Amino acid sequence: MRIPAAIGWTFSGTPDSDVVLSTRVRLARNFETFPFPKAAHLYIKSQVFARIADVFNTPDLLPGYEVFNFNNLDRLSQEIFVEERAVSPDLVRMEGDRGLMCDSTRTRCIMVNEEDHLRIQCISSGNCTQELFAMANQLDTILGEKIPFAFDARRGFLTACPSNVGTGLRLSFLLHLPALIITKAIDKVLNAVQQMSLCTRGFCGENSEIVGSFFQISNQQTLGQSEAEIIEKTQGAIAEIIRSERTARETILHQAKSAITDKIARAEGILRFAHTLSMREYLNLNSALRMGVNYNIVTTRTVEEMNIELLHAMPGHIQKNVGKSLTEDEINRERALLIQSLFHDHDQKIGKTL
Amino acid sequence: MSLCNSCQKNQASVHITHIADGALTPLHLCEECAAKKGITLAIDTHSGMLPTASVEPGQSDDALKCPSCNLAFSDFKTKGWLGCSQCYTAFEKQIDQILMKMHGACIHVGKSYESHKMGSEPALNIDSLRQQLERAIKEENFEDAARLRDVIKTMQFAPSQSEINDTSL
Repeated sequence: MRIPAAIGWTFSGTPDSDVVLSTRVRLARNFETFPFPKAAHLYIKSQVFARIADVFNTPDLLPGYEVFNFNNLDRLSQEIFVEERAVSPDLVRMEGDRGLMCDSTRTRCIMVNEEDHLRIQCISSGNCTQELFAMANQLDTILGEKIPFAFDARRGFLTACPSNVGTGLRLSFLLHLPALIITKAIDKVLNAVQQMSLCTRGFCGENSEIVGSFFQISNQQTLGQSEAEIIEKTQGAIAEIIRSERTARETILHQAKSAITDKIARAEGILRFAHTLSMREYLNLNSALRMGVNYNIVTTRTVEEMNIELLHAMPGHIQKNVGKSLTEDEINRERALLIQSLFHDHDQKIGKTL
Repeated sequence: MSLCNSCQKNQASVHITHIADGALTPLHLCEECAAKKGITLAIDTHSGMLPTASVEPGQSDDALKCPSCNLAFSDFKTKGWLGCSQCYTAFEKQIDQILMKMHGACIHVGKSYESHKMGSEPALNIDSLRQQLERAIKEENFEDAARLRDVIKTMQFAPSQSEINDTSL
């Protein structure tokens, strides 16, 4: 089976994609005249949504965007957007008119009526902070000319939570750090990250556990520094983590080649033949196989294919693919079948028979 | 609000992330158990938990209300979010202390913005909503009129409680 590569953060060819799965740049903005979404009556939320939708429907202003109102969208489609990382899980849980304005690759995603009226987000694979910031900043300028933003010269852009006030800028990096875990250097790195006022979370964002050696790291401070300073400081820390992970990968290869090769081969074996795969187990195996791809030990996948596979192995995507609602056990079986079929396709392509 | 992970009795008010063996475990403790473990209050800016210990807990602060959205300062301390942009002025002194703890600064030095260039809209308050309601009735737009009446009722009688989507942190 062939899975179309359509989502921007799965693409290959971006810098540091051996360690950085994706980078997201986000700007939080609000209307100056409306109460913030969590304090707003549903009618007010509908007014806010309509005003923003009007801007996106203005001919030639922001071409190529689609408008999705989650109030009129089925639950599965909402989940798909969460899995594509276009919106937060919190947006799904909220009430009233709320949703997303986004381009077809989900590179530019404007979340409406989550914690703030607008969350301008630009996401891509690899480490492309400067490009993504330029993109988000341009969108911010265009939207700021049409929507009166809540801004005060002393506090900057005003947000529902004071943790986002000022620039409203949050940079988030989804990192794959298996070698730092294996060499037990991860605690030291994460403690250093906390000392630098950066925040660490799991694969699925806020309150999620660390699975498959995937970590989300983002800046916490948004006030008292310019956007350029925040980017420089955060990028510096991320560059240091990337260096540490690459050094640890080299160390493992030199000191424990057979052990790591065995671990990767076993992961491939389970992925090829398992009849059921929970998301947690799959993430751990994807992580091991990804390491194999980075080491050029595994040649059945590219980083891009691993990213696409990761997206399509998520529960919403599996149910969409099957075309019906499934239980968790059924999803786990479908996930195993999907992975098996991807290996089967690759084997057929290279004429390999088992 | 969750219960304390340690005593399982009191409400958890200290939220920290414990790092060991590459695993990040969220820990929710009451102040008593946190003190026993020698943990000083941490600021988790991402979850919106506020450094309440840094803000004077006096009655006077808790009773403060934003004149625009009617959010009480005590509500802000529990929920972790403000009601509208005017809250920043209404709770100026208290918010400055919080911003210093969170960001180590309380003055913005980033991108500037002038909304007045486009002509600002009137603030959304009961008076402007009443005007909208009168207009809707005059134009026989009864659907909007009914909605507006609901909004006005909410703002008059239970401003900070009934219609707020309470997502306790």
